[in-house]
Amino acid sequence: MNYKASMWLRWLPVALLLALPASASAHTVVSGVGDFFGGVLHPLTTPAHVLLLLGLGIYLGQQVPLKLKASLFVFVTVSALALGLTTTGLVKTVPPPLIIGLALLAGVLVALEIPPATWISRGLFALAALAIGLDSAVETGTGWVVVKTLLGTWTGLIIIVADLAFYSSKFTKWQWQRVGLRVAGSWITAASLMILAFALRHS
Amino acid sequence: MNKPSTVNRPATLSLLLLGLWFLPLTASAHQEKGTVWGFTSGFLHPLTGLDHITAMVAVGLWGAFLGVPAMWVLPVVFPVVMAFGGALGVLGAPIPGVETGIALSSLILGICVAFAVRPPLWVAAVIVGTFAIFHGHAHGAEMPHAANAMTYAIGFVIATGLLHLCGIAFGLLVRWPWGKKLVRVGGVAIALVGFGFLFHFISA
Repeated sequence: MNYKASMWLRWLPVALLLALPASASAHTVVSGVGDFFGGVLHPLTTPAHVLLLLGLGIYLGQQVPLKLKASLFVFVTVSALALGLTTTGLVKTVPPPLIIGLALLAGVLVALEIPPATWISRGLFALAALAIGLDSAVETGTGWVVVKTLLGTWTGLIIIVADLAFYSSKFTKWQWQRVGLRVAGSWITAASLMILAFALRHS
Repeated sequence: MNKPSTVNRPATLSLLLLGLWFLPLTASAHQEKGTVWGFTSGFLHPLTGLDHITAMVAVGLWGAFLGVPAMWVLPVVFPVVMAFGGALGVLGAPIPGVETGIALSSLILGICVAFAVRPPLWVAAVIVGTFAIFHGHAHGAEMPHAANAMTYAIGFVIATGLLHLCGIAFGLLVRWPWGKKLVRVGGVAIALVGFGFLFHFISA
């Protein structure tokens, strides 16, 4: 048997094992991971947040050369303030259309690959951080539990945006890679537009 | 001296596992609802209608045929305009002849691929955009009431985009003479499907 064929046969059992059907064990993402990691995962459990974070991360990574400092500084600072504000109870929720509207804006910027004016970029990051932060209030628990959860959410937000920006920036060398990012932007725009319509119908 | 084994161990193991794979397991049915149901429902919606599938693939095929920049402009334009149509559908704004428009989209786009029609980019974008409104309207209007709207939208946009990518991947065969013929035959098949749907709607 030649080398290639033997390699295929060696990996075939692994592939088949991975394809074995198994019963689904449905559970929520956050339960059982603790307060801090529950907070870290929180942005990923809200589709509107995911859409906006995707838009922000790709938008940031799309810019060549990659400059994370200024926009991330704004994002980190404002999100910390907003998460802190949730503990005061002044703002209970953020209207979903606001978050989706920001995702729409980020998606359009990514799809059009517009070179950002500094104030647009920082304004977008500030508003996004404010909206997501205020929308991430901890509904149950007191004291240390809330602090740990909010710290987790803050860490999660920063990791998600920074990672997305970093990995998106790896897809800017070739034209087809840049096109791929723009297509992703158009998907974010399209999904946001639809969700806005759903929100309008229900309002 | 030991006789060399004639049994091919990896092959035997693979066959055994293959058998294991086909073992029937008890179905664990559970109610589909909420976020996951919305995504699944949205993702499957464009994949459950042949008229949708053929039109989406045709967009990718035509884009690949037209080359850069049409290859990426069309798949960027289509989802955005489709979402606009979807928004109209969600809000209940009537658009006449949606199903006919969808059937026409397969027919026209299939013909464009089959005859290797190469209009200016803006004309291609307008044609694709116009048809996108019909497709989007259908997606928006037919959203199941139980589905999570947000994940439904994300699901159907991703499925649509992946169908475009399938079309583009197939369309990239045009760089070879035999591939060009194959893609054009694909265009003929899409046009025939579109004609079939159109005929069905007109005769119904």
